[in-house]
Order: sequence, then structure tokens, then C-alpha cells
Amino acid sequence: MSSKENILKRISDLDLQPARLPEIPQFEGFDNLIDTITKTLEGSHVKVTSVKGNLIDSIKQEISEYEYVVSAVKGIDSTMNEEDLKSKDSLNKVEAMIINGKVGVAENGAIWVPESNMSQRILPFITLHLFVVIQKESIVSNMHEAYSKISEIPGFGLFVAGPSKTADIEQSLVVGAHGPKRMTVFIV
Amino acid sequence: MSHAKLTEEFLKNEPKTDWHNETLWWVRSKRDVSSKGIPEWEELRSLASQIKDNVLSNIGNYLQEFEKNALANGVHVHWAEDGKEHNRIVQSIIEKHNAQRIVKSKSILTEECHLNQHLESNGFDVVDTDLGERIVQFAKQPPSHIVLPAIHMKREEVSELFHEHIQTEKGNSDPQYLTEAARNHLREKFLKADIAITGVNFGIAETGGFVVCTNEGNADMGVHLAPVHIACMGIEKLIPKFEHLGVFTRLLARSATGQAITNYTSHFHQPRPDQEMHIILVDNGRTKQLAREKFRNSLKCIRCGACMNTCPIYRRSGGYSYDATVPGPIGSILSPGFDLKKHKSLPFASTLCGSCSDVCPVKINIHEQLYEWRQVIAENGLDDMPKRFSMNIARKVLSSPKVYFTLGKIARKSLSILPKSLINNPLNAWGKQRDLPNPPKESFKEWYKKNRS
Repeated sequence: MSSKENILKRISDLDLQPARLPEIPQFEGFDNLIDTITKTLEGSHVKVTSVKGNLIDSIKQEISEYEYVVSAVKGIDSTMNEEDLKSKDSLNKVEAMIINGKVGVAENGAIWVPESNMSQRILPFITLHLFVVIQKESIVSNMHEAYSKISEIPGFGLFVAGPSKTADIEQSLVVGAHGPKRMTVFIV
Repeated sequence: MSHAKLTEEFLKNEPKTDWHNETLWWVRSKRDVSSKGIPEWEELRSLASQIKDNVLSNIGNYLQEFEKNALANGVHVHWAEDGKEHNRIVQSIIEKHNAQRIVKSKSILTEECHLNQHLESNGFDVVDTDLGERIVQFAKQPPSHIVLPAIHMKREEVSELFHEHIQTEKGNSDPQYLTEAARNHLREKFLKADIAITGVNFGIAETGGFVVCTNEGNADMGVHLAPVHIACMGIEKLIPKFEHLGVFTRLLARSATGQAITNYTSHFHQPRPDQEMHIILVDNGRTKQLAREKFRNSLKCIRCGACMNTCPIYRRSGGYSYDATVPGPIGSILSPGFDLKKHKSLPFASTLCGSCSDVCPVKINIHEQLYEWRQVIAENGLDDMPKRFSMNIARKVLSSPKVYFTLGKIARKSLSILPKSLINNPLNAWGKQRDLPNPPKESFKEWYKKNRS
């Protein structure tokens, strides 16, 4: 018998009685979603910009210091083309990556990004500074609401909640472990 | 060696022991603050526990559903009965791709299977990419905590290791500086890796996908650059539906470190077009534990480490005192299932205070299972001789009021005249930090007769 058959047989021999799967109730949400997500993100070392005027101008202002820019947001040009981004060494140069978030979670600051919004899966991780644009209407209270809004499950999808960090040396927090050292969120 | 013996080693450095104790308590306190921010916290724990009850009671069907959906997503699925088979499967994938350089993110399962040792002895270069794991890998040690692998080490020790292995400045032990050095060192490894290995936090039966949670982003750095991704998953990591992630992602990081969520919660369903993705489903003793009714729900564990942070024994004895892949209270109920003889002292490494069960996000009755394992160990004749001997005497004394009363009298008399060596001798572990008590003049019974009757 194969390992699969052996494992499954050991399980079926136990003849376990199925336990009931609980329903997940609706939990009470936050009154002010934007204030809540802003506070949560700021607590996780994220710069939050509430965009009052033109989004593109706000982004351009924030990325002006960077030479290597990749944008998956309309209206912002990448300084690197697709050919450039085929080599790992060029990917390693990326300083600013700008992406659209699909769902924002007020309770923990997590923002859902499906791979179709990333251009390449590695980009939100390898960039020095990650910029995420999120629409006010797409902010929800908690993870239950967030998952219920994800109607299409992508090949890869990410909840990102801050710049890369670690506290593995004596529990002292260092922002910028392997991934982005900075993260900025634009709320539109 | 027993837990108590190994603990002696850890306790030799008192300031460090105190630091370890206080730091883990601080992490536990962060968990308290974070969990209290959610009004429905207790309800979430109950839901998580019930969902896992359902998983364990129906795990055969969920495994087959998971496999079917994963295959349909273009993922290769393998089944391994034990650690050895798991390691062989990993090696065969590596060899198929003629790969040499392997990066691995945190996976307690691969520690359990001793994957690194297996691959290294076969000539492959495996780099642990979680900072804490890289530190202990340099030190040729296993992790001492499942979430905080290098919590037993002080910054000066890390500095020494980094100076030796990645040529950082001698004596510079600034965590910022050391982390930056590790970032640069590991960035090179990520860019050159042929294979990326990760663990799995949650496998979703309904969709055939899986979720990996990190703060550093190291799992993703490895996986999205390498042409091959191997995800190693214990069969108990399944959850039935995608929507159940809502429950577990709210509980996991809060319980582990007090964060609201890990920085990166990555959902994998299909490989990139230029990538191959493998999942290895590993039993390695899990179906045996499933068969043990009293210990079955230890398999609900989501590896948050909260029971370690809260445990008064773990905090003061360190992860290595358990001599097991998973230390602490949860490790002490999982490990005897793997090897009862080797781990027979672990269920006794507890005051049975129950704090572990109180903080467990999936409501495992850890302290009750510790007590149950003690019975199993005694039934198998594996409890230690002095304890068995003294317990037998205690049973005789305590079951007869007459004997108890007489011995009490003798004890009160003799305590004042007996030499201290009676308690402070090498045969008596309790005497190490204790002196004989000052005996009272009379027993409570005698006092009561005089004063109240």
C-alpha cells in the first residue's frame, strides 16, 4: 500500500464520529473604519496618507527620491521595464513598488493584494519601500468581512500589514528585516 | 536526560535566566493586551476549537478534498508516513532539479523530521532564512522556542556568531546593525536559491491552498524568487473552508507575540507559470496521536507558542531543557506520544497551574493532558524510583489516620533534633534549595481539641 493509503486507512479504522462544524457569526464592527485603520497602521510603522486632492500627485511626491520605481497603479510610470525585471539582479534594485490594495482591514491594518495587482509576486517583498493605495469604500472591520469580500481566490494573494520586521535578537524590534524597510498607505 | 537535569544547566547563569523569564512574561503580557482588544476573543477561541474538532473528526475526507483541489490547482501533492519519507521526498525533488542551494523559512515540521541534517549529510547547502533560525543555525543548535528560536541568546552571543560567520565588526552587538548584516547576507542567498522550502500554517481543504505567516517576509523572499517551492505540512494543519481563515488569523499572531496580525499572511494556491510547487503531507505520528482519545486534541495546536510564554517552568528552564522539537507545555503533551521513554520526564515539568490551557487559542486542555500522561507513565513503570518509593509510603501513611497521627508526632519531635543532612543530601532533589522547616509544637488536631472542643 502507498503511504497515502496507509495514512487514510489508519484514520478510517478509528471510525471517528464527525463533530459539528460551527457557523461563524457576524461580529460587531467599528464605527469609524478610516480612523481605526489609520491608527492601526501607524502603530505598525506604516506612514498613512489620507489623499484629499489628486492621488497621482500625492504618489509622485512620495516617490520622487527613488530612481528604481515599479508601478502597478495607473498614472504612475515605472522606471524599469518588463525586460529589466526578468533578471533577479534588477529586481534587487527596486526601491519603490506601488500597488493597489483590494480590501483593507481596520482591526489589524492588513491589506489584501491579489497577484494580479502585483505585476510580479516578488515585488511587494523585494522593494525597499512599498506603497499601497486603498479606497475608503474597501475598508472593512475585521478578517471575517475581509475574507467574505474575496470572491475570486488568486494563485497568490497577500495580506500585508506593515514593513518587514523582526525582534529575533533579544526581542528588540528592528524594522526592515528581509523585505521593505518602509511602507506607505494612501487612503483615497 | 531528564528535564530537571537539563534545567540545571540553564539555571547556572542566573541573570540570563531572569532575563529569559521576564522577557517571555513580557511577550505574554502583550498577548493579554492584544486579546483584550477583541470583545469576542473567547468566542473566537471556542470557534477555533470547534473547527479543529471537526477537522480531527473528519480528517481523512478533508485530506482527500485538499489533495484533489491542490492537484487541480497544478500543485504536486506527496504523502509521507514519517520524517524519513518526508526527507526522502524533499531530496528527490531537489535531485530532480539538480539543485544545490536551498533556502528554508521557519517550519517546526522540518525540525521534527530533522530535514537540515538529512540534506546536509547528503551534501546540500540549506540556509535557514528566519533571522532567529539563522542565528541558531550558525550556533549549530535547534530553536529553543517555536516562535522565538533564539530567545535563549543574548545580543553579545549573536554578535560573536555573526562576527565569525558573516564578518560583522567584533563587539558590535547593536540589533539594528546585526539585523542589517543578516539582511544583506541572506539577500544573496535568496537571489541564488534553486529551491525554497516553507512550512504551512493553514491548509484549506475547500480550495487546496495553504497559508504561510511571517513577519520578516523571508518565506516569500525565498518562494517568489526560486523556481521550486516545497511546502511541508503536518496533516493536522488543515482547516475546512477559506472563511475559517478569518478565525485563525485573528487568533494566531495575537496569541504568539501580541501583534494584531503577522506582517505577511501569504495565500498560495497555484505556482507561478515558471515555477513548480509541491506540498508534502506528513503523518509522522499524528494518526497515532489521533487514536489516543485523551490526547487527540493536542493535534489542534496552531504553534503560536503562547503556552511557552506563560509557563512558569518553561520561562525558568529554557527550551533546551525539554530535549524535544516542540518544548514547553504543548511539547510535553505531544512528545511522549512520539517516544514515551525518552520524554517521560516532560509531563512532570509542570506545576499543573493551568495557565497554558487558559491562553491556548484553540482551547487545548494542556494541563489536564499533562496529568493524564503522568498516569500513563506510571502505568508503564517509567516514573522514577525515589518518587515511586515515596509515593507508596505516602499512600500507606495517608490512608490510615492512626499511622498519620503517630508519624506526625514523631516528625514534630524529630525535626528539631535531626541533622540537616537528612534533607540536604544528594539523594533528595527537593533539599537542594530547601532547609528543614521549624516544626510546630502541636498538630492542628491537638490545637483544635484544646481550644475549640
